[in-house]
Amino acid sequence: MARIARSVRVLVCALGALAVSAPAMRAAAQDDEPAPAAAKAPLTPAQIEARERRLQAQSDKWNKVPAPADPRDFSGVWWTRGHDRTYRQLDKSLPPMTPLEAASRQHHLDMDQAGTPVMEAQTLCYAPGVPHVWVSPYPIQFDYLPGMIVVLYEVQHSVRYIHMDGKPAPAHTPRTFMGYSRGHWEGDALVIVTDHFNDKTQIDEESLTHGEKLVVTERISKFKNKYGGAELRNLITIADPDHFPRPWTAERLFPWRSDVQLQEYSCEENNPEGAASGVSVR
Amino acid sequence: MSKTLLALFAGLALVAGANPANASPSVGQVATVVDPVPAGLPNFTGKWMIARPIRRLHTIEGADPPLNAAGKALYAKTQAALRADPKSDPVSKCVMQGIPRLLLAPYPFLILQYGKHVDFVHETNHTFRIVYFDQPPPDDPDPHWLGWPVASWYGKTLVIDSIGFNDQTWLDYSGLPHGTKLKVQERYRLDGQKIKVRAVITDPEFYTAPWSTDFSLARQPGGYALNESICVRDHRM
Repeated sequence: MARIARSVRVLVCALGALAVSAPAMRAAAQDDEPAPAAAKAPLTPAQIEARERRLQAQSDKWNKVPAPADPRDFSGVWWTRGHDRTYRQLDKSLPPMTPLEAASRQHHLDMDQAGTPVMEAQTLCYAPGVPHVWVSPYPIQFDYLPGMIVVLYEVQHSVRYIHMDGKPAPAHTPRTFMGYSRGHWEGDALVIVTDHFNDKTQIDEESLTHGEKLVVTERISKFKNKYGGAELRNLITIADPDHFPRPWTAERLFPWRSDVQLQEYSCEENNPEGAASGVSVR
Repeated sequence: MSKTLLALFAGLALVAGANPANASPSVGQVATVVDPVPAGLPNFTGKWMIARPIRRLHTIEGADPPLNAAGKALYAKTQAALRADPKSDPVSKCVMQGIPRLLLAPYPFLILQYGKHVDFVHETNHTFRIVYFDQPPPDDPDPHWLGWPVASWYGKTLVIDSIGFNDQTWLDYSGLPHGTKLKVQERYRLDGQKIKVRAVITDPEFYTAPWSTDFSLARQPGGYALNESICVRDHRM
């Protein structure tokens, strides 16, 4: 398992420089993945029953050690199903775009088509940014602290610090890849507002981009799915008036995975583009 | 509950967290502590950094590490290359520093200690290491930059044993070598506002005998957040 995961990861990084769709291969490494919902002939009742049995067994395995009972406690490991490179609105449609974003998106699609995809932060082994970091098919972990929630993402060993002290971002907070995150609770939903982004990351892996005005509001809540397993829902609202005429919302789901531990992820070792200057951005 | 009240509670939690003795890891946002540090054990949770810079490791006796012939040859070659070109340091390619070198980096890092795991989150190139208690690595681990660690308690000492390293990192900033047979045992002992660390290095490929080195970590002020530190490659971005 470890060996498979790692070799896939090597491929992800190696291919990442060539084709951005490479992380899809990581999804294939997730054991027990449900088959993608294909638009083929409808399943027979027997097939549906078999699938449900399989998904139930899978969920039971994932929840062998149950998630924390406290609805506000997300401590532990969660992992998205499969891999969806794109963010879309809740009705699956593309968000309305400004002319700037529409042109930028078309450029990304054209470059993809030409086999010379636009190099973006994650492909170059930088931090992927928000909300991009949730797209990647790698597990994540929440750690709770007094006044702080730390989110660890296996992909590109990304880290976010969610400040729970109710204070605004300090003066002179720099613009960064992962931004500055402030969190509070609305009921049992963790609401995170993140800004102070640089403009070097993308919204998703395919084509959507942003500028420095990006503000991302996430509403993360825990629910019990139809198999009785714990799952996080993240409703992600993206606001950047230069790229989108109005804020729009996408959704991501993350089942509880008591059977998974975050592993070492090294993009740098496999990316020959990564000729380092050794300079740190502070 | 109003936002003001929530903010007040969050603020109180922060005040409680300011005292390391109260810094149980799951306070403030939730009603229960699901995975607490077991009673009677020290809590290393906090922000730490190497107490004084160390470029070159020595044994606890103050001697040079017991390199064998192969080790001496490789160390000399590495040091000559480093003198000729500082970028021959593997870290200049933004790869992970390895262990114990990562702990020597002049950047703060978090230790986040829970009942079942203890997490090291470093500011430098946002590198993290998640170490579970009593879950040994696979029999034939793929080589990792930071190895395959497992945590345990020896009395009040937190012990982390790691194997499964690649041979691409250095033990320290001077280029002290190791191979893939490297075993590192880190022993963490809480001592007031410091952590005394002993690292025991075993690598028969490059050393005549296991050897130990000591260094201290100092508790750092200013909450739990670390700066974003991205190792930047000089191209196209």
